Amino acid sequence: MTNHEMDTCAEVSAELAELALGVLTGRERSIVVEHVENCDDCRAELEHLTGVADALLMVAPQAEPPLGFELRVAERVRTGLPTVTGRQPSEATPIRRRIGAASRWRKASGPQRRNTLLAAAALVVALALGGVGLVNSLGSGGTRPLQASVISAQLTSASGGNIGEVLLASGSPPMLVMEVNGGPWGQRVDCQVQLANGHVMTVGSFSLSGSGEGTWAIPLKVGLHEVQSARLVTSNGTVLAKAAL
Amino acid sequence: MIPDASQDATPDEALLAAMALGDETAGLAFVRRYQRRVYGLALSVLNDATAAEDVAQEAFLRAWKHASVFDHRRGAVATWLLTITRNLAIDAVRARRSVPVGPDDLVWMRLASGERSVEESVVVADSTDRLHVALAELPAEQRRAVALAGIYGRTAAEVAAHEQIPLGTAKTRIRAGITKLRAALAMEAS
Ligand SMILES: [Zn+2]
Repeated sequence: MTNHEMDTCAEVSAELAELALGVLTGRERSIVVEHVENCDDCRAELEHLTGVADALLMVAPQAEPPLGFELRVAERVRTGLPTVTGRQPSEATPIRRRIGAASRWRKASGPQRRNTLLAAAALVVALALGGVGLVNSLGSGGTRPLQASVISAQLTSASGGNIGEVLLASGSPPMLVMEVNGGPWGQRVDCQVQLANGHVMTVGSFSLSGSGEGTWAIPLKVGLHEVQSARLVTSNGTVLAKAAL
Repeated sequence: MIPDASQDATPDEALLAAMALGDETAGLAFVRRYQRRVYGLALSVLNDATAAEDVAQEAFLRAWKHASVFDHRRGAVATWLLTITRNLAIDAVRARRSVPVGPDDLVWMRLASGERSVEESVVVADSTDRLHVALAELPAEQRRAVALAGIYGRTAAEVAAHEQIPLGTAKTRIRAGITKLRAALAMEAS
C-alpha cells in the first residue's frame, strides 16, 4: 500500500481498527478518513470498532486518587475557569451594561434583590416605551413605566435549585427580563417561552458570563398573559431551568 | 438537590445538567462517581502519580465546563469522560517524551479478573464483564497490542518498537484483537 492509492474497502478495512483506537496518523489517517466518509460499509464498520475502542476504556485499571481529589477539582472549577464570550443578538439587551449596580445582584437576595429587579423591570418598560438611550429616565420616573404590571417567578434548575428569576413587564412591547446567576459558565443559551396555546417560542439567545451570570431584557411579540412559562435551554436543546409564570 | 449522588441512581445526565448550572454538590458527586476510573486510566498511561492527578483534574474540569453541551446521543457519559482523560494523558506523555512502562501481563490479568467499583450501573458492569472475559481469552500478544494502542495511545509503529516485531505484525495483532473483542461484544447484543 505504499505506491498505490488505498481506495479499496479491503485495504481500508485493515486500518479501521487503528482509526477507531485513535492511533492512526498522518497521510495514512487522512486516506482512511476520506474513504470512510464516502463509503457506507466502511463507516458502519468503523462505528462498530469505535464502540469496542470506547468499551476498552471502561476496563482500564482503576485506582483511588489521593485524598481530597474531588475537592481540588471543585476548587479549580471555582477559581480557574476561562471566560467564553459571545456576541449578543440585537433582540436581547444585556441590562447589566446599563445598570452598574446590577453586577452585584448575584449575592443579593430577598427584598433587596426584588427591588433591584423591579427597578430593572421598570427600566425595561421605560426603554421599551421610549426607545433606546433612556437610561437617565429611571431617576426622573415617568409615570407610565412605574405603573407597569410585573409578573415574576423563580428560575428553577433540573435539580431544584434557584438559578435566577424571570419577570414579565407590561408595555409596548411587553418585555421579559431574565436574570441568571448560577447558569453554565460562558455558555450560549436560548430563552424560550411557552404560550397558552402550547406553542414554544425562542424569544432570545445570549451568552452567560464566565461565572454563569447574565441579565437580559427581551421584547415579546406576544401578549403578557399568553405566556405561561419561560425556560433556559442550551444549544443542544437541554432544558436547564424553568419558571412558571 | 442531589444528596451524595455518587452512591445513588441519579443518572449521569442529570448530574451533568446540574453541574452545567453550577451545582457544586452534583459536581462533587460526579467526580466521586468516576474518580477511580479517570485517575486509574491516567495513572495507567502516565505511570506517575503526580502527572496522573494533573491529568485527572484537567479531565474533570473539562467535563464540568462542557457539561451543558454534552450530547447523550453520541454515547455514554463515562465513555466521553474517559476519552477526554485518555487523550489528555496521551498528550501529556508525548509532551514529556517519557516512556511509561507498558502494560504487562500482570496488569491485564488483574483487568481480566473483573475488579470494579460499587458505583457503576448494572448496565455498564454487564458489558464490561463481557469485555473482561473476552480480553482474558485473547492471546497475550494481541491483548498487549490492543492495550498499547487503545489505552496507551501507541501507534502501530510504536507497538512494533515496543514489542520488537515488524510493523505489519503489530498492525495485524491490533486488528485481530479488536476484531475478536468486537465479536464478543456483538454476541452480547444478540
Ligand atoms: Zn469501504
